[in-house]
Formats: sequence, C-alpha cells, structure tokens
Amino acid sequence: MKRVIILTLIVLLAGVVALPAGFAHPVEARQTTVLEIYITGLTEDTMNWFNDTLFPAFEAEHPGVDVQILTGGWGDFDVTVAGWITTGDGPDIIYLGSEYAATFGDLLMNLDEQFQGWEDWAQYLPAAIDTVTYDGHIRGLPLLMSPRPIFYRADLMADPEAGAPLTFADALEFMRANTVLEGGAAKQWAFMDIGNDLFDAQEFIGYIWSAGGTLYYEDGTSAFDSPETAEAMQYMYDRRRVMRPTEDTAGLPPIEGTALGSGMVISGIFPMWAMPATSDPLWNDVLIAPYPAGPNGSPLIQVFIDWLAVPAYVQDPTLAVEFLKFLGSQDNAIALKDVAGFTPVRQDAWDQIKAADPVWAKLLDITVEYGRAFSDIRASAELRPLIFEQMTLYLTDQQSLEDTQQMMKEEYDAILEDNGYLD
Amino acid sequence: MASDARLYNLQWSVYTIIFIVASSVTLGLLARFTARLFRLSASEQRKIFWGFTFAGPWIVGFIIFVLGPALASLYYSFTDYTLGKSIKWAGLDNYRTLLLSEGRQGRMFNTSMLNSFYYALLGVPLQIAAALGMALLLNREIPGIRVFRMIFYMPVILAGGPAILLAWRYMLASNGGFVNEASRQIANIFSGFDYLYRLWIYLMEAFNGFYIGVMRGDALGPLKYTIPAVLAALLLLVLARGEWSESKRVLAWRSAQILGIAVMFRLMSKGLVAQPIDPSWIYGVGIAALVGMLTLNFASVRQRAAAHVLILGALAVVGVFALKHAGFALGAGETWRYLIPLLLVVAPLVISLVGPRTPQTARRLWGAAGVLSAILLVRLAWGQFGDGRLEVLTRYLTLGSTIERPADLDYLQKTYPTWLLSALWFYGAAIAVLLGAALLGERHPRARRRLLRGGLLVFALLAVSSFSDGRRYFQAFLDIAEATGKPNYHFALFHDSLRLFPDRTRVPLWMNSELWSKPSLILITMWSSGTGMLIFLAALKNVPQSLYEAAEVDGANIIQRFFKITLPMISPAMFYNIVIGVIAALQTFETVYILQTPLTRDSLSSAAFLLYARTFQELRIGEGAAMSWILVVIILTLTVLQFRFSRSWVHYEA
Amino acid sequence: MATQTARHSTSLPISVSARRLVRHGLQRLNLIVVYALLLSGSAFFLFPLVWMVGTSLKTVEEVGRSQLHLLPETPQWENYDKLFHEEAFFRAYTNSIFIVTLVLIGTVISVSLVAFSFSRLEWKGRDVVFALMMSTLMLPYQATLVPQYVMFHKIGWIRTFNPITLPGFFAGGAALIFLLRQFMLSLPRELDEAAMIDGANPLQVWWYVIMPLSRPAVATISVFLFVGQWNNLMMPLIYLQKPALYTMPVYVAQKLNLQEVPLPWQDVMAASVTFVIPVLIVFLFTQRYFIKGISTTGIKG
Repeated sequence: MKRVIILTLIVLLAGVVALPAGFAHPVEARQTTVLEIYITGLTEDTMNWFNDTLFPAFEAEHPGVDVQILTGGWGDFDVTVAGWITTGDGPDIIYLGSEYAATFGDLLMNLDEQFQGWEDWAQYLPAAIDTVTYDGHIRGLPLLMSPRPIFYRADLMADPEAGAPLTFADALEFMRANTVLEGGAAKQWAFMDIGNDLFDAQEFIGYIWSAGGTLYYEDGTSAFDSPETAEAMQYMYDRRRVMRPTEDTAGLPPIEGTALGSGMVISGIFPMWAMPATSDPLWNDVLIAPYPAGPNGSPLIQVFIDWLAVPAYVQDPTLAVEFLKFLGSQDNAIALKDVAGFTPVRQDAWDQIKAADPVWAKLLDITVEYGRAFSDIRASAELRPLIFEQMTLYLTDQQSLEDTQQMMKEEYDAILEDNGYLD
Repeated sequence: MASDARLYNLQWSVYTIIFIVASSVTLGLLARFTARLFRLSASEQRKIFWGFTFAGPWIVGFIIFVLGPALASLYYSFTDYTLGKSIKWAGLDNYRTLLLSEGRQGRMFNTSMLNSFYYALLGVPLQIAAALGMALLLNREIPGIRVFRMIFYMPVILAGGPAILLAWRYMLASNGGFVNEASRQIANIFSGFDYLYRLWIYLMEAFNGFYIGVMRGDALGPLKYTIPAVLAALLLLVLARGEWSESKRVLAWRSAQILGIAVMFRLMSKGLVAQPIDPSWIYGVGIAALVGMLTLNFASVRQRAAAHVLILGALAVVGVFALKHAGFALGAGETWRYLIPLLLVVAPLVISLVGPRTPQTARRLWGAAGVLSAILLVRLAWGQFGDGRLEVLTRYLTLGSTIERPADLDYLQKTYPTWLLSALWFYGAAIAVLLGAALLGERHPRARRRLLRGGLLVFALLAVSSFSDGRRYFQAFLDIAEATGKPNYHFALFHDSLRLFPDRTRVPLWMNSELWSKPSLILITMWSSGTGMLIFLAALKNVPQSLYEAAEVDGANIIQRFFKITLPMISPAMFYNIVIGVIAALQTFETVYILQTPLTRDSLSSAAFLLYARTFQELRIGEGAAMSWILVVIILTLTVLQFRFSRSWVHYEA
Repeated sequence: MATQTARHSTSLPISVSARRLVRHGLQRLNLIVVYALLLSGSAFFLFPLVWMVGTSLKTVEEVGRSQLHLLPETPQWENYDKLFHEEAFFRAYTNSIFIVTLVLIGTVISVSLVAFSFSRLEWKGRDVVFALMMSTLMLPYQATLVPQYVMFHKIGWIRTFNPITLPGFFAGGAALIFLLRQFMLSLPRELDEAAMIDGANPLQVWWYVIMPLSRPAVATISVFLFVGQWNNLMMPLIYLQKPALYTMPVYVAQKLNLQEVPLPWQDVMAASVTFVIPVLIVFLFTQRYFIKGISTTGIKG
C-alpha cells in the first residue's frame, strides 16, 4: 500500500517536470486574439462609448479579435507605463502624454512600414506628427489635442470691461481684485489651476516659456537657473499669496457642478470635460485667453497632444496599427469630441465642429494663434516629482527662490546625465 | 478573460499541490535515507519520514519564498539593478544614498523615516492610551458588554481594507467635510469648546510646523542640546527621588543601553557608510567586543569560542576594507594608522580566547578595554574640543548665553551650528551618568547620590540655558528677516503658525496641508486600536482580584490602585503593544496609499510606502532591496529588544 | 480614610444603612457613567460605517454639499443598481471570492498538516525546524517582497493570480501554524496512540482523529485568513496590474481615480459598502474566535 502511494507520487513529480509548456499557458493557446489598450483618465461615458460602440464595430470588421481597455489614474500614470515598457510585458497599445516620445525613444516600435501609404496623415497637424515621431520614425497615432487656455468669467470680474490680463503684472492685479477671503477661508478665488492646489508642474513650464525662457541651454543642461524661470516662479508665488495669504488659509468650499459655473471661481485652467456644456448660456460671458507673459516673452496656450503608441515589445503590430487607423478615422474623431470632449487632431474634423459650435470655433482659432506644443521634455517622469517637491517648498515659504532654482538645476542636470542626455 | 485567468490559476493550483506533495515526500525520503546513514532504528526512521513529509509544505515554502528571496535581496541591495536592465555591482552606493540622504531619493528616505518616527513618537502613545482606556472601560461584567466589545473591536477589521479609509478621507475634507463641519457647529454653540478647539488647532499647527522644520533639516541651533538635556534630567529626577531600589537600577541600566543603541545607530548611519573608515571605528568595535566578552555569561566554551570567531572575523573584514581603503586613498605610508589600532584591538581578544580564565586575566582585559577607551576618547575629543569649544559648555553651566547679536543670516545658518559641540556628547554624558549610577548602586550609596544629584543639576542647567539660547537663536532669524525685508525660511511654517491665534473661522486642513496630514493618519489609527485593547483586556483579566481587595482595605484610592497594581501587572501587555505599535508605524501602507494626495504624499509617506513606490512603481530593485534591509535591521532590533528587555523590565507575575 | 470611617461606623447602625444607600447610589451613578462612555465610544467607532452607508444613498448634488446630513432626503437605491450592472464591479467581486476561497482551502489544509507534524509527531530535528519557523515571525515581509517580485516576474506570473494564491499553499503564515499547534498540543495523547494501535497511518490520524477535534482552532485561523485576504490591498496592487484581474480592494481604491467633476463619492461609498458587508457578517458570527485568537497569540486581525 505504502509503496503504491510513493510510486504514484514519484510518477506525479515526473509528470510536473515533463508537462508540455503549451498546456501550461492556455490563454495564449486560445483562438481569439486579444488586443489590449491602455488609456488613462477616462470618464465613465467615454469608457462606455469605447466598450459599447467602438470595440464592437472593430471586432465586427476583424473576426476573432477581442479588444479590451485598461484604465488607471493619472497619479500612477508614468510609473505604470514605464513599468510595462522596461519589463517588456504589457498592453499592445499605450496612451502617452505629449512629451513622451523623447522619454521612451526606441522602446517604442517603429511603425513606418505599417503606416506606409496611409493617406489620412495629410489631415494631421505637423506639430502632431512631430509629437509622435522619434528619430525620424512614426511611433504611434495622435489621439487628441488638448489646448489649455485660461477661461475667464467676464460677467463676474471686478472690472468686466478690462478683458483678460496678458502680462504677469496685470494678471496679479486681476488676482487681487477678484479674490474674496473671509477670515481664514476663501469665498471666491480669482483663479484655479487644473490640480486645484495652486501649483501644477506643466503650467509652471508654460510660464517659463511665456516669460521668454527655455528648459535647456544650448549645451543641453538645465536652464532652471535662468532669470526667466525666476520670473515664472515669482509670478506663481505672488499669485498664491493673493489667494492664500498664509499657508493655513482654507481653500474654497466644495463646489457643486463645474468650478467655473459655480461662480466661486473667476478664472482658471480646465480641460473641456470639466467645463459646462457648450450649449450653456454661461459661455456668452466666458473669455478664452492665453497665459499671461513676462516683459521679454509673449502670451501662449499650451497644447497637449496625447497619443497612442505601440511599444517595441509587441510581437506583431499589424493588428494594433489597424486599430489605430480605425480609431483615428474622421467619424470616430468627431464622435470622440462629442462623447469625451477630446479636440480632434485631424483638421478635416474641425470644419464640422466649428460650424456646429461657436465655442469650439473660438477655442480652435485662439489655439492656432497662440498654441505651443508641449513636447521635448526630457526625462519627464523624473522631472515632474522634482519640480513638484521643490516648487512646493518655494511656494509654501520654506525655501528661497535662489535656493529653489539652484536645487532644481543641480538635480535636473544629474537626472539628464543619468539618462544619457548630456555627454 | 477573467474566467480564463481563474482557470489558469486553478490549473497551476493543481500543479502546485502535486509539486508540494511530491517534494514533501521526497524530503521525507531524503530524511529517512539520512537517518539510515546514521543507523537510527527502523521506528525512528519511520517517524522522521512522516515528520518531514508533514512539515514538508512549510520547509519547501521556506526555501522558495523566504530563504532564496532573502539571499537574493541581500545581493540586489549591493547592485544598481533596475528591472529590465542589466545588473551592475554598486557596492555600498544604495546604502550611502539612503543613510546619508544624498539627492532626492535619499531625501525622500530621510523624510519617510522621520514620518515613521513621528507616528511612533505621537501615534503610538495615543493609540496605547486609547486602547488602555477602552480596555479599562470594557473590563467589567455588565449586561451588554459583549456587544460593546465587539463594536469597539470592529474598526480593526474594517481598517485593514481600503473602503473605510476612503470614507475617512471623505469625512476629513477640510472645507465642508463632516469632521470639520460638526466640530465647527459644536464650537459655535459652546464657547468653551470653541476656545479649546482653536487652542488645539494653534498647538497642533505650531508643533507640526516645528517638526516639518526639523525634517527639512533647518538648523536647530542650541535647541539640539535641550532635547538630551531634558531627557537626562527627567530620568535622573526619577532616579534621585526617594529610596534607591532594584527596579531603579534596572531602569538606569536599561535607559543607558537604549540610549547607547540609539547613539550607535546614529553614528553607524552617518559614519560607517561615509567614505573613509576612520581608525576610531576599529577601537569602537574592539571595545564593544571586549566588554561584551567580559560581561556576557556564556553557557558553554563552544559558545564563547563561536562568539570570538565571529568578532575576529568581523575585525578581519574591517581590517581588509580599511587596509584596502588606506592603500587607495592615503598612500601606503598611512597604512600604520590602521594597523596599529588593529593590533591593539586584536591582541587582547586573542588573549581572552586562548588564555586561562582566571580573575587576573579578566582584570587585565578590563584594563585593556579601559586603555582602548581612553585612546578612543582622546582621538574623538581631539577634533571636538579644540578652538575653545569647551567654552560653550562652561557658559551654559553658568546660565550664560553663547549667542551674540548675529551679524547676518549666513553666519547664523552656516557657521554657527557647526561651530558648536555635537549633541552626541550630551547623549554620551547622559549614558555615562546612568551607567555610573547603575554600577555604584547599593554598594556606594553616597557616591551614587552625589553622581545623580550632580548630574541632575548639570543637565537641568544645560536644559534651561540651552533652551533660552535656542529661543534667542530662533528669534535672530526673525530679526534678520525683518531687517532685510526678506521672508524667513528658517522654520517658516512654525513661525507662520505661531503668529496669530486662530480666529473663529479656522478649521484643521487635514489632508490639504502637510501641517495636518500626519495627525489625520494618527486619528485613524486611534480609531482602529482594537487589537491593543484586546491584548490589554486579556492582561486585565489575569490581574488577581485579591490584590485590589487588599489595596482597598489598605485605603488606596482608585488612582493609586491603577498606578500601583494595574499598571505594573499589565506591563508585559503594555510593552508588547508599544513594540508592535512602533513596528506597525514603520510598516504603515494601506492608510498612506489611500489618504495621500499629490500635495501630502511626501509628508505622509512611511518607510513601507516609499519602498513600494520605489520598487514597484519605479522598478529600482537595487535601491528597494537596500531600503528593505535597513528596515529589517531596525525591526529585528526592536523585536530582539522586546524579547531581551521584557524579561527584566516587565512584571511577569500573573 | 475609608477604613477609618468604616471602623467608626460599625457602632452606629443608622449610619451603616446611610452608607449603604450612598454606596448604592454611587454604584448606580458609576454604572450610568460607564454606559454613557460605552455608548459614546460605540458612536465614535460605528460612525464612519454609518456615514459610508448614508453617503452611498445620496445624490451627486447632496454629496457636493457640506456634510452635516447623515442621511439623504430620499435614498438613491439606483446607486447600487448602477453598481450591480457594472461589469468591472462584478468581475472584481467574483475575483475576490475566487482568490479568498482558493487561499483559504490551500492554506488551512497545509497549515494543519504542518501544525500536526509539529505537535503530534515525534521526530528528530523537529525542535530545530520549529525554532526556525518561529524565527521567521520576526522577519518583516519587506525582506522578501522585492526578490519575490523579481522571481514571479521571471517566470511570467505577473498579471496572473498565481503570486497571490499559490504561496499560501506552502503553509504560509508562521503565526497560524503556531496557533494551531498550540491547540493540537492540548488534545489528549491517548487518542492518536489508540488509532495507531488500530493500524492507522499518520495521514489517517490527522484526517480522522485530529482534524475533527481541532475545529475551533481551524475556525479561528480561517477567520483570520479570510479577513486578511479579503482586505489585502498591497499584493493585488503589486501583482495584478490589469483591471480584468482586480480584486475588490484594488477596484474600490481605483474608483477615486476616475476623472469626474465632482468626484462621485456616492458611487465610491456604494462600492465600499458592498465590499465591507462580507467582512462584517463574518466578524459578527465569529467574533469570539477573533478575541480568542488575538488574546492567545497577539497577532493582528
């Protein structure tokens, strides 16, 4: 009896060792091909549109294909994506921000061959094509354009006739005139940034540019010690001190609905999906304006071109590119604008949108006039936390402007060197 | 998709079970085979076979999931391994970055260790007080008490998961959140509560502002002496008051040990991984080894020999490193700087190993340890007391100030703190006094009393005058800022919170401000301190009722009974809860993960959270492994301390 | 003081009864104070739970308003309806049930085998292995977390359930083994000796004699395991990495990441309520095991 048990066990052990590999991976052995797409920061409606409208349509054209969407938050975005790309194990299509072509480079697949002869490229803005190109090769498809102007409630401004401020000095004047504090709490804020804590790393870079500065010197080292950077920092600091004279001032009460619609916020930087519907009469009184500028710079609007890339670890990119072409079609671009508020990157989608909607017409016109693409940010995943840490110290009065500039420059130079941007 | 994944998992479960059964039986067979080699009886062989087979799952799991990974992680911690890239040997680089707070990563580690320290310093006592209060309340047999026990414990079950933490995050919204709204409403009704509430806000913000300043590395100035001086004065006050007793001796001895360990950690983290290995280290290791050999009572010769081999091995390693380093950095001529101390240290150790174990040898070895200590002290003091630095001490002892009206900010911020003595000397002096008191003990009561009273006087003077000097130091920054019209960055948040007493509209900002993020976390841990309560409850049940009755007959009131009977009797539970609480403070993860916002991420992050972010989000395996080993060392030290000290410190009579 | 009064008063019968009366009244007062404290304590401990349920039934507008109303004007049951129709929710819930069940079965069986070996079998080397096992209690999990991740990554188990379920099969959790062993040690020796004489092998003794008797201890470790696994956030967060595999803790935590303005707290709280219910039910029915388990070993729930 005992011998029988032992014998069986030995046979079983041999069985485990000799198991065919294919049997151990049943998922791959299945007939359906799964196409995984990672898109971050979607609203529920947009998710539903992907799942209920777009994917079934694509699957109908490609039998045996199962398209699936993965989502996550913005908080972990860069690290999640970096994880997939460096470990070589992840979805077939990943969503990337404007500045990432330079960050990931050759870890993204060269798609020239797959996109060859696709006539729709003619419809894309040159800036958008630049955004998805690295080393002269196409790495993905631009998905949406997100111009980030400042919206003003002209009807609520202290001086409704004054118009939007276009210099740092005027903007500060505007902040003082339109902020209402009561005791230790805010009742009305002249301005609200996209992250609602009066500090955003991308916006900061925007002000460096509008002050006439750059992020890098000719030799590729960081220009955080430039006088233009100092101007941008000083502006953000002064603005914060208007709305939070001390760090223990409480922010605005909870806002019902959109921030600009609540009347508690006079101006701000918002994505279109966080704004009232364009049919709202409120829009009659909304000014759309660029970022204020320093004396040596000029006002600008940051344009983020988010795109979908195919990582280099994907075995066969044909299907992924098929899907990208399908998603990028004119009809789907317009549909995405309606569902998700994504501004299309295709110009042939614009005419229709402009004709249908005067608000979007205004937005697109001003974008063309002031737009500057948010790209060429080197080692952005490491830069963002650095800016965040240092600028928070500066803005909360814990570190001087000079020390902050110095720290940012020193540490960013070290990061650039680590990542091979400097020789 | 999900069902495929489950199927896949089930399939692997079957393989795993087969693997476990097969490998356990193989293990059993191997064990029996070994037993046969040792010619054990047939029934012994049978027992060994079944024993190992049944314990097999754990043994195999231990090798695969604990032993292997632990060794691998130790190796990774010396490399710059990033997942997806090739491994490169990096030596002590990772440890250096973390322990010396180099660059952003080191800074983050320092911040999260200090966050954990905050949780341990404030959170654990509060948690223990809450748990003890709850246990005292629940330790009575009245109708419905079981339901209450259940309700009081329930938060522990919930707080393990994210759901209730999300509810807390929502309730703690600074503007309009339930907690703030409700407190404000109550404050509006009762003016007494309003005043207390605002006072609480004021004190909390001032304290947290101060702590943030310390975390940021703003110079403490003379205040850094106040901390050890107050600590030592308090301890000495307890020891000097009333009759001397055995428990006081133990207290003195243990406090000296704990302070010593803390100082050692500090020295090691700042000194050992720093570039040059100073010859002082060799003396330090040698003294520690000698004193250890002489005081520890080894049960057997074999143990003693093993300890010796370990120490000599360690010294050999230090020696090789030191010589190598000396050869590289200092030129061959400097090698003597290391060789002499090595010889001085190794010689008595070898004698103690091979020599006869007579009292005479022991006395000579104590002498050797004394000589080495003297050399070490001279070495260390040389660099410390030059340039008239002793003057600081003498001035403090006469209640004089060392701070003159400062010329400018640069002088204050950069020159002044480094010019002064290292605060470690104060800790050293405290340790010396405590040790002296413990050693003099019963036998020399007069000398002991003089030592204690003298020490108390000295430390009290140091505490008072260093504190007043510290205040002047802080004020100087404000004066300079006012004179120059620039903001004051030295303890900025602290001064900000001190400026104005909160008005009636002010509320705690909780997760919207780094001044309040840590207190929010502590509030939640207090809410879920039911585990500690259960442990206290079990301990309270074991306190014999007869003791209380006897005390009542003697006329002890309820407070006396609590301090004289309850507290000593439940001290094992207390000690256990403290250690577990401190370890948990280092390992806080879920709470930080759920509560953090971009603004408060850094000010909340615990060591465990940083480890997670560094390893699993940024895939820096090497640095993550180094971080985890630093954590392991700290946690193991705490655990060992618990086991060692609980025996003598704690009342185990129940 | 009290004793003196007592001595004097023995001679005066009236004051004795007066004292008894005062004492009785004091006891009464004491009891009232105790109950008042107990009730306010309960309110503090239960409040977040009640708040969670209240919020889950509110409308989006009510959630945005300042939070003084515990309950909504009209309960919005459709919040739950919406949740139950969400595929991701269903998936996460079933994933959680799947994982917890598998871990529970695998761990309980393997732990009881090992505990049996450490308590009922006599073999050379047992004490050494047992001491080794107890020493792993001291090792914090951080020491092995990183290389385990690397190991699972190398064998391609990231983004599968395997790293979460399978390690449990290897008798994971020294504290659980210890708890069960202590219990098994307390069972009378004669039982298995009698069975051995009848010709049973240790496997049969374990299954037919010891396991049925160890039911209370097995229940205790099962409850600990269930709560620990159900709440487990870190492991799924590290290893699962894709929404199709998310368990409830990750799903609930991710709900906050949606880009909605204003944040749909009512949905988050509805998901939280459904997440908390199983744990609460299990706790209500098994709390005596909890209390016993913690008091004997001091491990955390």
